[in-house]
Amino acid sequence: MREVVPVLREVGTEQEQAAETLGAGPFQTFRRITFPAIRWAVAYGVVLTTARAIGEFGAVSAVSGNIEGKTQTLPLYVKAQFDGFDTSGAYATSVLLALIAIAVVVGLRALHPREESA
Amino acid sequence: MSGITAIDVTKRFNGFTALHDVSVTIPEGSLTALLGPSGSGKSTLLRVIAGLEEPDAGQVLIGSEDVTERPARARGVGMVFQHYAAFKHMTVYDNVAFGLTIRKRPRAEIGRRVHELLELVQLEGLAKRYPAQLSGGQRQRMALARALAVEPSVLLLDEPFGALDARVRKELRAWLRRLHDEVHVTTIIVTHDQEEAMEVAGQIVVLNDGRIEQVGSPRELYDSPANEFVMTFVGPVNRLGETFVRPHDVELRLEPDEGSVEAMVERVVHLGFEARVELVRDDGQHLLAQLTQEEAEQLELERGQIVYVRSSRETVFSEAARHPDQPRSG
Repeated sequence: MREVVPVLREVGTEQEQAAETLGAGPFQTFRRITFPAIRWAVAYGVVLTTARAIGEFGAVSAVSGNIEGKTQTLPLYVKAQFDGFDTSGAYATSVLLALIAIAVVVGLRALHPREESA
Repeated sequence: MSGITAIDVTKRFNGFTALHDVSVTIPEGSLTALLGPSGSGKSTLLRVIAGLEEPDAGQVLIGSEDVTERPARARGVGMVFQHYAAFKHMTVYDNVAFGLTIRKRPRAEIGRRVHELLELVQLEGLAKRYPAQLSGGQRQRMALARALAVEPSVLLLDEPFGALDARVRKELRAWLRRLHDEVHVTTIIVTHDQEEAMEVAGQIVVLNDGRIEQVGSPRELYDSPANEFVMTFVGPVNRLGETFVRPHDVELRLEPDEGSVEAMVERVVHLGFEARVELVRDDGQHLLAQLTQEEAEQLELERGQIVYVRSSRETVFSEAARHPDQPRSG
């Protein structure tokens, strides 16, 4: 939400109105005009939310009790393995977390819309 | 192609009345300007015709059909906005093709039509560019091609040249005029620039405070304005008590003659062909005179010089026309 709303404001409603006069219905207007205009912000929001979900530690641990296989996030798993003296398991999971982070960055770059690089 | 009729259209926004019972007829195939200062309701009227605003009362007819209840997408209008409203994530080609793609026309037909239109608006060769790579004038021509692609029965332009610089604006005006001669679609252009309206349009509708002040050709508005508002809005004017005089109707003499008044030259501005002379009459009233450069040279006008002025043509309005803010019929 925080990513999308300012972009929607900035884009304004003129493009939608133009699409409407050209014969587009509300759904077509959203799919062809509104959504492409905000897709960068939407993708950004999704990625940030996902990253937050994957990386959450304290809240999950405190609220949902860190049940293995149910409410355990990767950082919690790393802690569990580390506490159980499974250092290699902890390291492997950490590397996986790092790889996810890199994939997210690469993915975001690829999503970069053409008109902004123009 | 169709004419447009608005009947007793009223539109209110949160207690502010943008249009009061406006009725106007736009003849088929004409190029009509809606002219007025900001807040006069001209854009609102255009948007009501387009179907982007719903009137609180009144009807809109396109051709002989009542379209008041019809959504914008089913009205067959082409609209061009002041800030282009270009689809930024699409190429020029896709922008122009949008209306046809929505209508699911065959690809070959779309290709042919888009190239025809790009040629018409002189953007051939730029089909693969994105709007961000175009200049303002090019973007607006693209928007015009996009609006024309669906073969609208009416073309509505909302201050289309407002965001462009003066030189491009002048070029596009002349170009729009030529384009209209070619495609002949009923066109309405909204503008606050009286020069633009006079240059482009065959008919001008002057709006003020949500009411129509006068409808007529540029010539009619200039030569026989219906009231004080139109007189002062469509061109420069000198006001001497209840009398109005256009600056080019002010005559200057070196010798006094019958009916002339003494005045002192305050400033002479040379603008190529024309010269503007600012004067103060002996009764203290300021006056602007427009002469040709030649006339100004013959008089050898200088600052501080005393001349004698008279007007070749004066306009006095009746009591009703002098106070256009008072309620009145029509």
